[in-house]
Amino acid sequence: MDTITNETILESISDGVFTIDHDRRITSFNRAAELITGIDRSEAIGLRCSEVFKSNMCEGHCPLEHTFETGKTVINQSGYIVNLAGKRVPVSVSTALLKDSAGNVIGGAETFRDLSELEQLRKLRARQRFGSIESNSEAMRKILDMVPPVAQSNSTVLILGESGTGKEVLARTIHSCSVQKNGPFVAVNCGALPDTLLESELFGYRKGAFTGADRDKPGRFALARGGTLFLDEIGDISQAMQVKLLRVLQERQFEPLGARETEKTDARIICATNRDLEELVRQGSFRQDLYYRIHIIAITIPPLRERREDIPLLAKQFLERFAILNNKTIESFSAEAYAAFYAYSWPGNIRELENVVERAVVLCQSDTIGLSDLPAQITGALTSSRHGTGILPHAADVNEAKDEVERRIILEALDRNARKVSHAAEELGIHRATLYRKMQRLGIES
Amino acid sequence: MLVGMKLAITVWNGRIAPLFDVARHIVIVRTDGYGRAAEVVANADLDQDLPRQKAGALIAMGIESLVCGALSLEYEESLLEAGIDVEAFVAGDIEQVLQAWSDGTLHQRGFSMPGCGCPRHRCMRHGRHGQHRGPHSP
Repeated sequence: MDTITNETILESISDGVFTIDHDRRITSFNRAAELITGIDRSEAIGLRCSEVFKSNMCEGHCPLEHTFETGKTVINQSGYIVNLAGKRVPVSVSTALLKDSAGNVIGGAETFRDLSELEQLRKLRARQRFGSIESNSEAMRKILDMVPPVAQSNSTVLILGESGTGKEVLARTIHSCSVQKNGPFVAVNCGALPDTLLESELFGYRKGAFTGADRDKPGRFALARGGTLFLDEIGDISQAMQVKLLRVLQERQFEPLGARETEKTDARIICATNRDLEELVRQGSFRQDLYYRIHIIAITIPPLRERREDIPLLAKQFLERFAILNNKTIESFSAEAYAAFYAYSWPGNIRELENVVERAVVLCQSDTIGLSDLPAQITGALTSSRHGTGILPHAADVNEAKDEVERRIILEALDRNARKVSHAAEELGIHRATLYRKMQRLGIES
Repeated sequence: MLVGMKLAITVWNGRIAPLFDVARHIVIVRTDGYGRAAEVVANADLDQDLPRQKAGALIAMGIESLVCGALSLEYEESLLEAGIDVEAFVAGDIEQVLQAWSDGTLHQRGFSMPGCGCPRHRCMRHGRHGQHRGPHSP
């Protein structure tokens, strides 16, 4: 093959290729190398390769240096280069020695591939998978079986479950299977806003409606037209807001603040709460008519401790996602880590598992997450289980055992937080009111 | 009386380290009141990995100015947030770079990493970092 042919091939391929001499200075630089690095070959040739390539591998992990030292090729070593805009470009690098016809080493060759698009696809895939629900649990299978018919109807759905069980994820799944799937999914946390703000947030306002309203602002009902409106923490809204919401749900129309005319909404409504709405109705703090209006199709998501068979599946999903987002190659969890996951009661449910896995991925220095990468409360559960203190030999039945475990977890959280219920609730990942309710049921004094 | 300051230069194999993100060693230089490199104070490790940790380590060493090779945006932002003046995308032998810093000739083509061409590229980045404190600055 003559020189012209070699050059033609090098110029036509999409991988960057450069060659260096014994002084590590660049002797050739192909068109793809120019495109990926943004550096013209006329500038690159003659310079030190490290000052042209600018990779995280140059200082200490240079694949070409390894090839010079060992004579062995490197194939697809991953790393990144930094381009002139300061942006990291992920690349995979392969190397080989250059020899003359007599077999003498005259330099080295490096080929590199821009992995930006592949990396983007992997990240996109990680995000998409996070939004879907997979389960091995029988209880969850029943719920997932309900999703297609529920999604096809336009009835209001009420999703119940403890904090962190994935109520919004289920709502998004219903939306993505519904006829409104091409419309917007608009979520509002009703418990996070005071009445006045919630009203303007939900219904919007007209210019001049109040001081500071210098322009029209559409509310969430308007923004959710043709899509789904997800009202989270519906059990926490005031009686006054309950009345206004009931009217919208009944009449499918609302008035923005300061407006003279009513507006219509066709948004599909999905509500969610971690509170016991029936109990709130009995206590008189939640309107019975609103309760019946939203309680058309009710779905209760079981807490993670009642679907422990899903822990490996969920943990693996989170591991894949956070490993990609943190640029790490962590393959799995150790058997001890899984055992600790099984022994722990997960008061914060899936959200807590997600946070634990994220922390572990950040801390992990090997390709397997072990006990040392997990927080003390998780490893503590394994220790107490091994010593028998986590098992309840005197419990009469499963429910009694569950109550005793729950009581112990709550008491420990209260002790750690100087008996402050709000702080303990935050640590446990549940709403303050939920903790009060549990404490009352379990006979724990605040 | 004019007061000097501490300048750090990332170093690898006697030259500016090619990439600040993974640079492990620096030379610390004290400058005189006119911005000229007066004396090499110390060689120090810079083995922190994360942007804020690296910037924090430089601040802890009293560094006000940094000369380095390429760096990614996250690291650049952390350095700027920490109030460190940055001369990035510099290449060359450490002794010669120090001399050029003193002479105010660091922007000449010979000390620039290849790219869109010195002094255009370096000046463009330089403009984002504030003014060079060399002897030719006002």
